[in-house]
Amino acid sequence: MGYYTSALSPFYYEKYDRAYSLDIDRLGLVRAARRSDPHGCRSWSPSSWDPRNQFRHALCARMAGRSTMTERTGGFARGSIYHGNIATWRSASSKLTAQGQISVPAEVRRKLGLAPGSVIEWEEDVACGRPPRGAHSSEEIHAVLFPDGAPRKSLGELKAGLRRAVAKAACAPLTLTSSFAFLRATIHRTNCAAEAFVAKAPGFPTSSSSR
Amino acid sequence: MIWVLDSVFALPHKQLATAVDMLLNHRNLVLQDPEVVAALVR
Repeated sequence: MGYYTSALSPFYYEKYDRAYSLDIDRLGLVRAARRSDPHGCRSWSPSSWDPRNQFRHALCARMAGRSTMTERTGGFARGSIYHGNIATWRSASSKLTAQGQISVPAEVRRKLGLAPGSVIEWEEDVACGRPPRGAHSSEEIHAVLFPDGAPRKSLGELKAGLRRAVAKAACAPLTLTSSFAFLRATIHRTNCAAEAFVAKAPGFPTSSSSR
Repeated sequence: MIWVLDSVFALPHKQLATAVDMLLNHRNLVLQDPEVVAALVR
């Protein structure tokens, strides 16, 4: 689940009565989507705002030999792309402080026209969300396990160690703790398999339907 | 991997648990049934 920001210029409130905001998508492109009052912005007509007319507009543009808005904006037009004085940037990142504050990079501020007093809205966008990336790499794990470097082991030592581990596992009595952990893991796996089986078979009679 | 770290390199159990915990949150690797592994580590 990810988030993207939409920034409302201070002029939105003060100087102009334009009803659009700038959205930063995950590719770094900027799109301006109108939020309300489709008649408030001169560069838009009510018919072009209507999503039902988008296909017709694109078809007419194709037949007339013109490029569509989707092509001009790099494939991100849904009929509501404002391509005015908007530039793109490669990537920018901000670090969250302990107080939960971030700084908007200067490049982003300049290209979005953000000034002190600008209001930044946060909206949830599941479709644009990136999967959470793990925090650790193999090198970090190695550094934690062997801070002074891993001692060199020969192949014979490795095989002897594995033999000891197998013998130890075979001869070890089943303790109460290990049996509980094994039982808990087995029950969990069984429950997951049963849920998956029921989910794949919607016609499978359940206990409530068989009564 | 845990077998090797335990029997060959004789690492303490606390470090083994740390290694498994970091593997669960690895950048490129995905463990099968991670919730089961996490339950066993805890």
